[in-house]
Amino acid sequence: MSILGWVREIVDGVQSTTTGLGLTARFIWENVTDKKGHGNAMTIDYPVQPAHVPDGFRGHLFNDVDRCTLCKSCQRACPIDCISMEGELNENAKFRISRYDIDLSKCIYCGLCTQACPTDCLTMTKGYELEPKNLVNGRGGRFLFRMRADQTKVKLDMLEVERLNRLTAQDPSACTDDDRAFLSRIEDPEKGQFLFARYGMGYYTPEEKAKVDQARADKKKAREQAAAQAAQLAAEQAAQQSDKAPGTAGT
Amino acid sequence: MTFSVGPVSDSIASWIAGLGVPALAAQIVAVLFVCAAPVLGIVFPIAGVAQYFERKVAGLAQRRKGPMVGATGLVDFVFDLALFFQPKWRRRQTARRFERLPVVSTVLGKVRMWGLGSIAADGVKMFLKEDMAPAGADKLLFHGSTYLAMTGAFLAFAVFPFSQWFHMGDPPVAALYLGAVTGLVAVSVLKAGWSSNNKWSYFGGIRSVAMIVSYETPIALSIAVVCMWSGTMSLQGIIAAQYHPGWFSIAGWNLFQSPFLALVACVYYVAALAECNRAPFDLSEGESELVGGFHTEYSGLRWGLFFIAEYSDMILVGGLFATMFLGGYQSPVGEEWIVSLPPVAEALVHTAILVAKAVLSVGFMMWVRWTLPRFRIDQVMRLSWTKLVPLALVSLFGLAVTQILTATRTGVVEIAYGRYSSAPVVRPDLFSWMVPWAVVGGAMVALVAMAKRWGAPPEPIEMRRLTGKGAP
Repeated sequence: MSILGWVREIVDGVQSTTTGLGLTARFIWENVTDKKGHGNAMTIDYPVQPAHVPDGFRGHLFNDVDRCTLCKSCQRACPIDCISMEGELNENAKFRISRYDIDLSKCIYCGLCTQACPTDCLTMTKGYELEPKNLVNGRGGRFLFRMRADQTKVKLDMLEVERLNRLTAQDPSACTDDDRAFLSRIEDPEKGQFLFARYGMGYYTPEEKAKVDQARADKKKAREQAAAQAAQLAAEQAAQQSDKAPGTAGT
Repeated sequence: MTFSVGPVSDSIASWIAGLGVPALAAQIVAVLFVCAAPVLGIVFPIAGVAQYFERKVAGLAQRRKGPMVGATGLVDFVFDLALFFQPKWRRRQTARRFERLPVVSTVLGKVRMWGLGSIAADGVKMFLKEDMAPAGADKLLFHGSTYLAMTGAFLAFAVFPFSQWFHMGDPPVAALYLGAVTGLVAVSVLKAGWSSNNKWSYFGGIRSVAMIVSYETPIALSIAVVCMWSGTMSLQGIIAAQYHPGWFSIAGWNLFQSPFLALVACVYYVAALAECNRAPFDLSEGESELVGGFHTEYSGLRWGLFFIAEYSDMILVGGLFATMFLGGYQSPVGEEWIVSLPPVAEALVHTAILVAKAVLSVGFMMWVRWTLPRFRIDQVMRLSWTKLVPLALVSLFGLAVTQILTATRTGVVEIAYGRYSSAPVVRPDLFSWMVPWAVVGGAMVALVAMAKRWGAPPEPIEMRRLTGKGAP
């Protein structure tokens, strides 16, 4: 290596070092001198500032029960069977939903149920928080549920559903007065503002949750009983066969 | 029989004796205080705060926010103690209401923004972590190397001049002693790495030794250059030689005396950065390859001791750089009024100036750390043996010639500075100051221009083919 190459290496090293030092100095200077504090930082102060959620984000599921036809496509499409529903016939002899459960502790957010839904009433929202204290009226339970229009006397159109989606995904303190008026449009004299309480990450009241849990426990019990009976039956059959078996084996 | 390390300890001893303590005991306490004060009063607090500062600088330099730990836990704790008779939710409610008070909310907001809570949080975390030694580790060496790391860092402060009166001792071979003592870092790191029974630790240890051994050479050379210029190895003598009367006392600093001294200052700083195991030379840590390097297996307070040793080394390097090139504890604008103060006041002012210089150096090291990526081991070796050592040798030779020529022109003088006077040194007059700067500066400009023109490294063959430049 020539002497000039040696000098060139030193010069390049010093130049690149000073360039880098200048860059970091600029970052530090901008960061420190910002009036609001850390102005050029890329960090999102998450629980205080709402986090940015990209389009197409697969968050919590939401079923617009007024449009649901109880076809159970979603139930069949679900790979881990986290959807369960019950229905009843309405006055026009059409099915309507009386209970629609998604167990979010099982849900893998694959979105297959929303593709299977023929009426597009089952959609994925941008909500992702399960922490009750971060929700407006969160009170236990982890089920998406909204009461039917005939129960609440409110029917939402698509725009309103989207708006609710947006509002439940964002930070509660970022609500405008208009949003608040929209959310508190209808109040249940006993249960308070029902839209927030019932919608989106909406939650069962404790009584309803107890009821649902009870129904589940009953169902589980019945299933176990049936399984026990079947096992007993199978055991009896096996016993009969084993009675016959030595004879057949002998012939 | 009296114990004394100078008038600072004498005045403290007489103050303690005035309280009714026997004179000998008072003297021993005063000497111990003077010896422990630099470490306990200056190095420990700086090392503690430096950890927080390092994290914040890292965040700011990388366009993050850095630590944002507020004082909420502290407020909760205080209200838990004050309102212990209340239910928990009431205590929390009161604490939150307190936090929303006008002035309090502003103050707490600032505390959170600057993450000051992380100082306390880090300390508590370090003290509460379990002290573990891995199975199969050599327990004696494993535990001993933490103390050795501290020892190497703190022994150096024994000869460190904080002021004219405030130091533990000023042996005439202080520079040699420093070279010997700072090498202990390599031993402690090697022992820590070897005794951990962990291959990553071992790699970190041997890397560190290979690096520190090669970087001792440019450090020793640059210290030799300064000792040659100052004519003494005593640190007080080196500082006294940099004294310049009048308000423009910055003119006496070694850094501006000669271009060779400025060059050797750069060499010393880079090499000392490696000696501290600081980025971009932190190969012994190398967390991307070696988990944590030599301290992979250390936890809690033992890890913290390594950390304090590292920051003590940084402060030491800053202080030594200041001592050798930046006039030590002298202020840049006028010295007479400080030297003429009574010893304790003089000690306070000079210590503050020196600590300010050292802290600036620590800040610069952080800035460098969060700018430059880590070197490879071969790059580290090449930098030391092909760049720093030749530059230091060139400076040694050039400065020797400068010194002889200047001495024939101006003669030698002994500079009296407070209670010390320097060894016979040359003080260049304006002409003999300007000529080396002009010659070396002109040579450097010419060399850089020529290197830019003709010294380009050979391009890779693929790049030659794509750009169509150079030989096929």
